[in-house]
Amino acid sequence: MEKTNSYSVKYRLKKNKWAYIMLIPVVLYYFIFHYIPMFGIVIAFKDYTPFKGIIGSEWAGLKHFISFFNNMYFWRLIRNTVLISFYDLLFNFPAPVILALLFNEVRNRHFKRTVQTISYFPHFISLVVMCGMIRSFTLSEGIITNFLVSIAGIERESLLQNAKYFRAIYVLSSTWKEVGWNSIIYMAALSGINTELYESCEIDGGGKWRKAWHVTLPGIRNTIILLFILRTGALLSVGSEKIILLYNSSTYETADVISSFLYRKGLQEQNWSYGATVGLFNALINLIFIVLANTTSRKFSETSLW
Amino acid sequence: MNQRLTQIILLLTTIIFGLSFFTGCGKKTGTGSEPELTWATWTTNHSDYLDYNEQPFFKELQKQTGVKIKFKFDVIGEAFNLLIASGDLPDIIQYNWYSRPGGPEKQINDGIIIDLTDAINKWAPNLRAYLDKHPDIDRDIKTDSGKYYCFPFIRGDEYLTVFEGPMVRKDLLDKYRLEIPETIAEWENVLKVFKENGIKSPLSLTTEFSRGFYSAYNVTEDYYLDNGKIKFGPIENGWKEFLQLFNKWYKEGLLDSDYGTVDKAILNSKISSGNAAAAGGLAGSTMGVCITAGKELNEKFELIGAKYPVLNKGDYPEFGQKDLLYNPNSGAAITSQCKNIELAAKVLDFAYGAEGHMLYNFGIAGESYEMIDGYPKYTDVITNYENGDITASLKRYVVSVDHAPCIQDVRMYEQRLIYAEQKEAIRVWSQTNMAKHVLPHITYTPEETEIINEVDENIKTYVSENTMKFILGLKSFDEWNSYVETIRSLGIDKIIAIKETALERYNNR
Repeated sequence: MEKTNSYSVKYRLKKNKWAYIMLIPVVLYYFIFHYIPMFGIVIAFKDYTPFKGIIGSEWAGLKHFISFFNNMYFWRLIRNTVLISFYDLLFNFPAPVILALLFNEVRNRHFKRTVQTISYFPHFISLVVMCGMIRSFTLSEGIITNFLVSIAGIERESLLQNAKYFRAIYVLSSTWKEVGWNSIIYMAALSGINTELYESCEIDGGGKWRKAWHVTLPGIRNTIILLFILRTGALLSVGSEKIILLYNSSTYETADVISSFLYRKGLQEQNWSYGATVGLFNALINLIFIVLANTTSRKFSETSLW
Repeated sequence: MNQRLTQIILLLTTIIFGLSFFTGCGKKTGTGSEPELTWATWTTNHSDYLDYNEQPFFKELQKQTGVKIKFKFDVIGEAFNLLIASGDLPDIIQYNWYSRPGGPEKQINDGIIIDLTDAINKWAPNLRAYLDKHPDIDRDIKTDSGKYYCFPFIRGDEYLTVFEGPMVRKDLLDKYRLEIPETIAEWENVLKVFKENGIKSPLSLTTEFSRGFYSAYNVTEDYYLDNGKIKFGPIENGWKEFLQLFNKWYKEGLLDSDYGTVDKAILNSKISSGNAAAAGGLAGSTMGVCITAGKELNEKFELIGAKYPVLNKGDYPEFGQKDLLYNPNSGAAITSQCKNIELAAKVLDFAYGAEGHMLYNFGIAGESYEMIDGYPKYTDVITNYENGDITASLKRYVVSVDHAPCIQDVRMYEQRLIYAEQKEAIRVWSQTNMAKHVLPHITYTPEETEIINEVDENIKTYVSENTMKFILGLKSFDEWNSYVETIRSLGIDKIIAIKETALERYNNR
């Protein structure tokens, strides 16, 4: 029994030799760039200075964690991070799905391709340029402000100066930038749906809505669920770049998140150990979220990452 | 077979590429005959040249010193830490050693850089002579225990230490028959007249350029000296009065309604387009840029510097902006791994001698500058640069434009300021007693650094956030006392005490 097993492993190795050899760089990549650096997490428990190195630096125990939890802004950072992520998930997760479904209904090929391509454009604008545009459009005389004043009757002011609006600006500008690009993966999933299903639905008397509900959506359901689980794993990792480019001291109240705090504290003040602590904390929370999402999904829909 | 070969080659390249990360910092290779140095700096070489050896300054530096220098640029932040952590140090590192925890002293004790006291005394006659003539600078560039640690960047003239202040549209003042405002009350009147005449935001500035107006209340936004005592501006009463003034101006529409969101680019466009008629900012990148852009739109456009405002007519401004002559941003230190300290010291000392001084400040004689009546005048190689950007043009030949281990020459700066208004502004902004209030370059022990790090960021965040709330009227001035109390509870007194101890050590140098 054992012999056949080893024979089969050997046989498989031989048969797929090149495939395995081609796998080596990928494994090496993950090992070198994703597993070895994990060792660096220990600096969260040390008083790290670059010259002494990771091993040579002195142990600090949980000092940095305690200091972070006791920080006067701790709860505000958590609240802002969670809320911004939550709104981002709430609006920007379904948006590309809806867009892809809409594209799917467009019959004019030419029109569809054009609109699709245009919707990708904002994705290619650099974040710095985009934030510069947002900042100047939302000044008290900016075009977005002008539009909102005349349509919604809001008070004329610099919108990014008002903590109330920060999250909306953050989330909606992401929608504008990424909705087209993110819909590509759903378009790909849509193209994989067997057309016979549509035909049989039609024969059964199903209209547009029924087709969308009973054929299209189930067809891309697995893609949606997988992307959702992955997204949940990043729930608490609001990137610092966009926040830093958009916030200012009058909006810290709603805009300051863990990563922007980390940027000010860890990078500007070169407090590496503290930075690693906050990052580790963030990663732990994300891990919990992704495990929860995966378990839930496995229970209810039989689709899961693992 | 061919396909297999390609796969193998691909694989090998990947592995070799991967491995090269570990061995990235190769061994120093010397030809033996020619002396060679390695020099890491946080500054950037000019983007016009692919190889710094093509950039006139670096080419000429190696030619004049007769030493081949291998530069490594952009060694800052993480790159700097990686360099230090690699343990494979170049001969010279140009960096802000003050920004390192524990300051320069600790870097010497940790064995990263060496104590330069002997080297400077023995092999740096030019710098030695300069320091003997300028004992104040001599004290500034030493550590608390009296060691030299770097070849410093020094501003060669007091004129170079002032570059920021309030500015106002002269042509509009004339149009409405107004004098250049000197007191806060006169400023308020001027801004009101501007407002009545349809200027949207009479006064526009970024938060960091608001100095002109809190200076009137004898405070700064940070730590400063007051009769030898260290104070923190934002908890002083003067700061409250400043906030009340800006709150009032904001409500009346005299202060830009975008105050919280204005950045330098937006500010420049507001001034040059005439949406704002008074501002705060820098002589170069605010005033110079605005005059160029403003004159294109409106030929009458005239922007001038105004004196730092005061409360009572006739008073001499006490506070303003002033940098120290010694700027620690670019200290070129010699590392513990330098084999030929004498050579490194001599190459660095070159900048402080006559020839080196000209090279660092004016470039190459007969090419980038010509001596006319004893004044080194830039040629059209500098002034006719294609983009019309004199700073970018200068950087090809002249490294003292940024920060470099040398003595910055005032004649470089004079020619960099292309408008007469800019030169006049600096003269006007220099009229303060700020020199008495600037904190010198004090250094902290690692323990002190840790305490400061613990609380400093929270204080800064709290102050900037509340400054904005008070000005925009989101927080009532009834809460001023609790605001000060919060800052005290965050540990401001601890920080001030640490700074005073450090100041004492500085004074005892």
